[in-house]
Amino acid sequence: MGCRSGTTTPASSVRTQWGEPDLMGVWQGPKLGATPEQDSFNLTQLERLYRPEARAKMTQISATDDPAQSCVPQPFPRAAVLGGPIQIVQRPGMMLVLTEAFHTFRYVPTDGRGHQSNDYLFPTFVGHAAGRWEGDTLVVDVIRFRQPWLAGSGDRPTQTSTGVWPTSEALRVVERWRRVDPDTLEYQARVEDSSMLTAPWDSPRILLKRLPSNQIGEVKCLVDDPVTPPASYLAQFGR
Amino acid sequence: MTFRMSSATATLVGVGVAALLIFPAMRSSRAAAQVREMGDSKTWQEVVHEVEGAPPAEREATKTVAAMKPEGPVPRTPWDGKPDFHGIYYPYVAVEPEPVELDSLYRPQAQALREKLHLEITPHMHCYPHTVPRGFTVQHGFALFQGPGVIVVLQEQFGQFQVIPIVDGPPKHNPSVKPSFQGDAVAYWDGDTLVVDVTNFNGRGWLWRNEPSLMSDALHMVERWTRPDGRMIEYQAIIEDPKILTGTWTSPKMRRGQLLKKEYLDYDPCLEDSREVALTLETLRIDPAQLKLSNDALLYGAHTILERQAATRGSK
Repeated sequence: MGCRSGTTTPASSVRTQWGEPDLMGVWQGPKLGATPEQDSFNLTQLERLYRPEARAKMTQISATDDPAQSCVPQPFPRAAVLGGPIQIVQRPGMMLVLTEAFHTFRYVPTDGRGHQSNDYLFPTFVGHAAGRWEGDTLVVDVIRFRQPWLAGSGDRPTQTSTGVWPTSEALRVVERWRRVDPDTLEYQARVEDSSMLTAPWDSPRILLKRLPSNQIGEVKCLVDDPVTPPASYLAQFGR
Repeated sequence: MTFRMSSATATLVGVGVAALLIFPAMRSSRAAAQVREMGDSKTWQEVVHEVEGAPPAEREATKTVAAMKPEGPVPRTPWDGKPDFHGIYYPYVAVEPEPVELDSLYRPQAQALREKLHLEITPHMHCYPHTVPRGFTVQHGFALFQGPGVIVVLQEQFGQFQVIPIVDGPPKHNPSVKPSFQGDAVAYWDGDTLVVDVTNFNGRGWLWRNEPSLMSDALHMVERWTRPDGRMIEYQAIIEDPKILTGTWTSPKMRRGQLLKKEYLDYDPCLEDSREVALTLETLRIDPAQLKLSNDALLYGAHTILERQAATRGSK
């Protein structure tokens, strides 16, 4: 996974040997979130979108119910804004997205095959993905999640925020991945959840910067490990 | 609890039973793993459960990876023409025995420590990633995802992965990488063999099926991955661990077969729940001193325990 030469190369020419846009590399995402003073993750809007009936249910849960507290894998778009690196590996028609935080992997077909019948069988933490190229942009439809939270318990964009961001089984995420230049990967997601939200929520454009590395590491979130307890693990990712 | 959680749950709740199911003491060099021929319509979990749930006699009736005849040419990548290891492989079978038993190589102090440890207190129980070669033998889905300049080892159990860059040899390790369960791996091609050099282990995992197969932070491993045909992968590890072993250990030569045409590996994350673990330990009625020693060996590595013991002896 050697470094590309020529930093002035236009994005369209960053291609794999088999002709697909090349998204490969280790990419460092920003740490985004929200406080009443600063909302870098567009959560003020998300908070407004929760349906009244969803809000009623949300009063019955608290910050400690954040699935991240149990070390379960966190899906995108939240995974893109934890401040940890991700790695993308491609081969013809298929992409693998690896996230260092909450150490997990996702297969993303890029050949436009659509969802398979098996995708609907059971929900997973990171969802089932089906991708297709729209020009140089990889558009990925992701379904069948296990009700992740869209943001963390520390994310409170208003004074009245409770820091709970649940989703339902209806969650669908449409991601757009594009390499805007050799050293920058752009990610944006539209989040739909007809049971919880009155309208789709759009994440901000998230820019991930290329790291001069060819492998992300092994970082485990272990509930019972006094060497790396989850509190210190989560602190690394600002949660 | 959903269907997907079943294997991880079984591991947590029935640690003792699960350990026996998942790591049966298989010393025979051939025909260790038996599988059915599966249609593409089955989910991965169904395959795993059918095989794991089947009693030995029933397994005997199924086709073995060992009996697989070579089939098809070795696939090659479109980007560099090297063997393409990409695929999902299940299950494992040893095709050539280890020249020397690992158990015979432990230094006396390490052997004494092994005998004091409780066999149910496993890295597995704490959701630690499998260290290969042990990881190669786990009876769950195992996938390789190969792209230009990189191969990723993915395991269904716990959803763990290891990224292995493929370089134009010789391998160079980055000394600033934090020691880990799986170590820092760098690969290079020796003809059509993918040679993986692994160092920088934290010494907290177990090396092999013979439990507790302790390792240390001095472990250095060279793995050789080959493709005998179009649907099998072959693996052998050569291991040196001078802090706890008296000599080099060569693992059995092992194979995994591609029996399903599935393209994705699903996974069960290990959701460690301290209450469940505590309950299990209570059920097992483990002596508290033995429990502490066993846990310490996992938390700090066998080498740390041995160094502490040596320091204590020295101060007396």
